Amino acid sequence: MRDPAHILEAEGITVQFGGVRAVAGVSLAIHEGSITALIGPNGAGKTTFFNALTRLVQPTSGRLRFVAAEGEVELTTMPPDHIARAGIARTFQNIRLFTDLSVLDNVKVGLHGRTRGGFWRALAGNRAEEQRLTGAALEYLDFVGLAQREAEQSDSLSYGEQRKLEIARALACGPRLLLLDEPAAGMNPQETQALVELIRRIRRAGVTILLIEHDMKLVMRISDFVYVLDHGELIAQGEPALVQKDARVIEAYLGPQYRPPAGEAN
Amino acid sequence: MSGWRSRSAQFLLALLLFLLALPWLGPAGAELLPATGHGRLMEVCLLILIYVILALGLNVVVGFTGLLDLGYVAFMTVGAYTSVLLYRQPEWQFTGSFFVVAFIAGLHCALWGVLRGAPTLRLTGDYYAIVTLAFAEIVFLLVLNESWLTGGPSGIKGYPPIALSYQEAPARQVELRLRVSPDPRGSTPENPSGLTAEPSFTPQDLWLGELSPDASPGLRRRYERSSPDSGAGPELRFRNWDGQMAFVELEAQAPWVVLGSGVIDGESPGSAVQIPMEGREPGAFLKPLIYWDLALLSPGEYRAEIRLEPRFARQVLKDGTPGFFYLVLLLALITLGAVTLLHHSRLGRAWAAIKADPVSARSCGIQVGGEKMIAFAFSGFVGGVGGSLMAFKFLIVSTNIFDFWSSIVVLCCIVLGGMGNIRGVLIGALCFIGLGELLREPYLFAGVSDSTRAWVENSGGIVKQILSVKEEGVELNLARTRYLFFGLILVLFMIFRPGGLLPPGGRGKPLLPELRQRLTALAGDLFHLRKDPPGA
Repeated sequence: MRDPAHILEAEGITVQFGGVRAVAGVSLAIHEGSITALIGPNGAGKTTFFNALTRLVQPTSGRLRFVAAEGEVELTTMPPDHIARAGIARTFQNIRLFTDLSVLDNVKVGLHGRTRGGFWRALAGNRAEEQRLTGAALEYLDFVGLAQREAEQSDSLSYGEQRKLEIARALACGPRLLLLDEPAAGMNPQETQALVELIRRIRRAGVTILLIEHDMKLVMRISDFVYVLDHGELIAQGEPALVQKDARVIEAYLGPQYRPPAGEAN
Repeated sequence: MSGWRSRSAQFLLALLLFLLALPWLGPAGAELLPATGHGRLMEVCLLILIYVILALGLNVVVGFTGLLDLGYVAFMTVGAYTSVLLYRQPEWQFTGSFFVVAFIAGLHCALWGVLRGAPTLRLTGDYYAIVTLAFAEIVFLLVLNESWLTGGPSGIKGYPPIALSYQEAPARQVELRLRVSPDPRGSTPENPSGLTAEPSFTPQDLWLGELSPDASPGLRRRYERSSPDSGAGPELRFRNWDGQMAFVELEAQAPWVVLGSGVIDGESPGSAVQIPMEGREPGAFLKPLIYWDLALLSPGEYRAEIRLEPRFARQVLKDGTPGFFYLVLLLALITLGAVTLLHHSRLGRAWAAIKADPVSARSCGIQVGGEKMIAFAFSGFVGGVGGSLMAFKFLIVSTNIFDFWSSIVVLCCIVLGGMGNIRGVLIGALCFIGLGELLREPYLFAGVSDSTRAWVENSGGIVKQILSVKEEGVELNLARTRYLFFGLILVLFMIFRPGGLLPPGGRGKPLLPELRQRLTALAGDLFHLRKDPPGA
């Protein structure tokens, strides 16, 4: 780590799909304990960057250094499940819950990487351990406000509740860095407000957050730092207020001809 | 919820008590399956229990982990042949109890489950199914063609029934006398020596043979004996008497093995005792061979002694006995317990997560490949034990028993009952196997009018396949057409109950009300009985 305050440093991350460079040499750093936003127009490579971080795709080149609980690790050579155990959990743009499982079991799956017990332990029928897991899972459900719904099938929840459940499942992995991929997508203003509160509470619990979001109001309200991607490249970075005025950002979102009307640019 | 749960617990308890009592039901049980009686009912229940074991094992991969396995028969085959070959190899002198045999067969299959699984970890859906199908076909062809080991198309038979323990028994001396006398017909082209030979054995209790009636005198005589209890003693056969050589083949059925050597009294040229024999054919156990070359013998009496050192099986469990039934019941309960524990464990949740969404399972820290391997190994293990039981149930293993259809039968039990639901799998095996066996039974309709008789007699096609005129009435026999019914049932399930009888996660609506609703809806559609809903 070049800076001890960083929890993650990405250096020249490139993801190439055939002839397409989805992510082109992105270097960024995330401060521990911060809420960092990754924004950009559709197709800018934000989700691909997340996938490279969690190794759901293999970055073509670049380095990813992450400070796990037990020290610094290089993510580009780790399998995805190890990355989750090292302390990076994520949610997905299109919700990916385990729809066959109950709400409670979804969170218990999240606890998987932090617990032990394979085949023989299962045959021994470890009831005390199961009860401990249930207790822990209920705490996470309570944290996101779903404790009353534990027994339901996860796909019977509303859209907003499914998002919350996905966050609870990610938190159950015990992350140091939580990646949220468009958590506010499809939410009404009340739900978005509740989400902002939830994200702040997660940060207060000591989890660093990196989020992709299209809802600019939300981004401006909660993020400490913003990175802007366009066509796979990092075009701007800085505090939210500064990024908002950046000419390249405006161009990326609105096109080169756009000139903000006098007095309205803020 | 809790009331229902206790009701299901009561039901399971009642079922268990019924199964425990079944071997002792006696004539009362005969009422349930009138055609062939009580023994048949127990046999059907036994078969259902074996399929319960197999279906529970397959369900671990198909239902829990969500990978379609069309080649489960591969494990059944490997398990069955492994256990049979263990007993059959005389060099190994294997005298382990059935539990040891089943465990070894299971481990062997678990190994193959891992070997099959390792290169296919990235495959899902149809692609995985194709690999399993191909693997089963490879095993099938291997068994069919490697006859030196597997007996090829005719399979292996004549191995002993299950034994739970063995004990050493004292060695026995067998004395064989061959009386050679001139053939009254003199020298013929078939019998150039002009001699005839008559064998006899002492002690007599080892020899219960009869001269088989089809043996043409002088040329080929064959003594056959089928022992009522193969575990009770060695079986001796006078095998091949072709006019030139008198072969006496002592077929000692395992667990008796011939370890000591034999001697021929009054050594003469052209006589010998061979132990162990060469050219053992698959399916037979040790066959010490004594032969005399008649061309070199003169009339007189010859004597041979053979020493049998038996490994005697103490507790032999044969098909059709309560012991065997209880053994299968015990193994089914153990499997049920293990599968239930696994389903509700951390590992079981990991499997369910992999089934639902492998990508997000991975992001939750689940080592997808490793957990899948455990499922493959366990499923293979159970398949091996089930196959081993089948081998001892049928007392023959061959490619006719372990063919592609067996995979499908086990899979059907799961699909019918509800993929991934343990109770559903139990009910699926009960319904599918039970129905299959019920359809084998002929049913007699007495008191049929003459016109119906005439109609049955004169009709062809499918009617002729399932109905036949008997003296007492008309007999309905669906045995030959039962696969038609299987097909029909599966089609109906795809329409009315695609998740099976009891879909996992309690998603199924209660069965009977739903069925009624569906049927009324269907009838309404067919006959336009339903009025349009108001406002439509």
